[in-house]
Amino acid sequence: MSVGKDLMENEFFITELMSLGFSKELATLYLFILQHNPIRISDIPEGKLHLIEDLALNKLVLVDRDTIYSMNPKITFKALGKEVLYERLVDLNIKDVPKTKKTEIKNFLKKCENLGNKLQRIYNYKTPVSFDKVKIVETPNKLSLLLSDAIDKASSEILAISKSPRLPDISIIWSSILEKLSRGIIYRRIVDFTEIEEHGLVIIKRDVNELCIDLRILDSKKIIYKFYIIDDQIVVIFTPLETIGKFRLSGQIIGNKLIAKRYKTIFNMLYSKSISVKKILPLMIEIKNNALNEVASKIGERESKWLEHLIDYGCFAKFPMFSLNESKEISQNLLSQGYIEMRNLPFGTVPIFPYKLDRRWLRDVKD
Amino acid sequence: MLKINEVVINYINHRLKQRKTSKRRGLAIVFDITYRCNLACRGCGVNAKRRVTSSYRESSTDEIFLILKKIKDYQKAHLQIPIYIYFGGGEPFMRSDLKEILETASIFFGSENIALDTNGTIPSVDEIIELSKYVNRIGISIDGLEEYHNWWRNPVKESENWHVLIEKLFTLLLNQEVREKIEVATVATKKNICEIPELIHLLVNKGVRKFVIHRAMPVGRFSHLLNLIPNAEEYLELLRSIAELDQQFKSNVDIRLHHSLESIYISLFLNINTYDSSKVGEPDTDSCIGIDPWGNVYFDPWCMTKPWSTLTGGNLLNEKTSLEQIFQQGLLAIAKSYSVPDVRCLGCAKNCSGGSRIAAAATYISNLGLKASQVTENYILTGLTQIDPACPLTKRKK
Repeated sequence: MSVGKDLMENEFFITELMSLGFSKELATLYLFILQHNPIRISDIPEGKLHLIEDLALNKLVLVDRDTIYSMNPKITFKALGKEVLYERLVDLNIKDVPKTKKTEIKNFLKKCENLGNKLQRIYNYKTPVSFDKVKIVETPNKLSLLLSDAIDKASSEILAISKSPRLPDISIIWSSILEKLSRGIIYRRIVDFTEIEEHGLVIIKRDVNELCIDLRILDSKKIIYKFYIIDDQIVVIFTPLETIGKFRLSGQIIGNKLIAKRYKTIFNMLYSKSISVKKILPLMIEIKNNALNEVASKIGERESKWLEHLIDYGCFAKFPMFSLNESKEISQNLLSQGYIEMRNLPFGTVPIFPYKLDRRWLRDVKD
Repeated sequence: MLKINEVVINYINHRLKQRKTSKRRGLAIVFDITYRCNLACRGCGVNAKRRVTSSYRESSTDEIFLILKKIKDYQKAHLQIPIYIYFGGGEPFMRSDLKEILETASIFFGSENIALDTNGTIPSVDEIIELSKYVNRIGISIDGLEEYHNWWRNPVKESENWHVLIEKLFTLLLNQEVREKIEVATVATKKNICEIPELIHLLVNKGVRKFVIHRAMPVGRFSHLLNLIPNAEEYLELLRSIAELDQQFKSNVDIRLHHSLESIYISLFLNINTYDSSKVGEPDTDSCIGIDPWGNVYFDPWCMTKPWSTLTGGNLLNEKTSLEQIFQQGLLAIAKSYSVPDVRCLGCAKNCSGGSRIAAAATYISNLGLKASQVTENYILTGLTQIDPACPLTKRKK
């Protein structure tokens, strides 16, 4: 009976995975890895190794030396859904998306989320990083996956201090954080103002007002650390470059209470010097409105609309209501007049609205 | 293949046997009881000073006793772990209570488990003889022949000069009990490495039977003297010279190299895994943990100055803190987890204990040219994963 039930369940998962674009071969292999996690690369027939690459590319598995680990499907499918949407469709929550499209988006996300939840039932959890070890991570992709895995272990608190450049695969990290936030876990994050500009006003407002993230700003020059602390147990550090305050997208996952304690002291010290984003939001909105009015009167309504979208969604803006050519034209126009600037981010060069906030003002704002 | 001969193999085998019965195989502690010193060695690893500011304060006699008591408490709970304590500094004879400290330590742990390290220039022969009953080893620092030693140690008084120290040592050697306890300690640098065999010859002829050659670690004042630190080839040459001396002396004279060098050589040349997970502290037989003059505990005695001191495990003068707690909170785990293959030496898979993690990290940080105040924990922890520059495989690994 049980064997038959398992077979039926597997058939169900294969069908579901295929409906998301998996081939039957890929879906079968993925289910095998999920249930027997972790497995050795040598256990995979040579002719199927390209499938592992596909799974790794989609962040469903992590290949670490000679071992393949399956990532938590509950997290990865949520991230995968958002990534696919971001690539294929348009920004989420924007006003201009037609209702039918919104339903399509919601259904797609729901489908990914439900499948991830169901797959978790057959997932044989085995972490690539244990609580009492150190793991060196040399690539941004692996660091994203392992950071996500570490966040997945959080039961009380996630602390982070960060500055550019940021990991390119943020969707999986973000999915882990969202999952933890939904369970009431505290997330405190200190960033420089560059991140605030790049993430966009709508996203920042959502983070602090809806998701209740304790988001703080610190002068970029004072951010000479880049790390995450999870539950006073695990520290994820980024490799520093020779220049103080600059980092590689590689690092270490450290399971050591003493090191976590030391980093928490550093975090608390920097936290006391930082200011809450909530304090600065009214000023940002004021600057936004002034800029939009100015652009509308000096250049045009269309340009103002484009700029509003950029300010709201930052580096995630896709400008769905503008054609590619129109968007390019407006972008060049606003760039030449100093309303926007181009920034090199891990996923490409994108326009950003610079608030041009006086650093002294940032320093002087007190909680 | 690295070229080594039978003489070297015999010497490493001999040392391997000695390490198995080493006093340091359990919990070995380097307890620096002061950072004051009458000399000013160019490369002092703890930045010891001749003159200290009025705000300088180190543990009082009672506080030292409290620290010793906490070590004793740990021993009571771990009877199977032998404990060995080196009292050093700075110069321990700068403390007027040294005798009391050694006496108490010998009562707690037995004089056979106590060692004293001194530059030998402050105490008289009689004072050393008097204190020798509380210890089983008296380490005396002699860094080379006269010219180099005096250049290195910056003596200001006649009594601090090499020739006076050597005369004092020769007088001490006339006392058989003391002679057996004397070990001459030398820090190898590029400038003295060639004269170390000559120094050993000179001292063996006068009766010294034990020698230890320490590594130059780029910490403290040495972090500004990178050009004086021997490279892997020079250390290998030193090994060959020492092995030849050992053969000449028919193993009647004990000459040991810093434990991190020995562990690298044992692993590479005898193909024996030197990673010892049961060791309390860094996972190498002869390694020690460190305690500074203020009671802070470290996984390595070479990380007791800035910026390394940020890795302290806790303070034994804190009423509620025990040595057991400090260990359990993760201090020893730091040493062990950064010494495993995949993590240390940029992932080198050789079976060894990773040489010295502090040497690897300190060299990495010194090469970045950062000031101590600029070195964050991110740099230190990244440094702990780097290659020990004394490893003969260094070039290949790079």
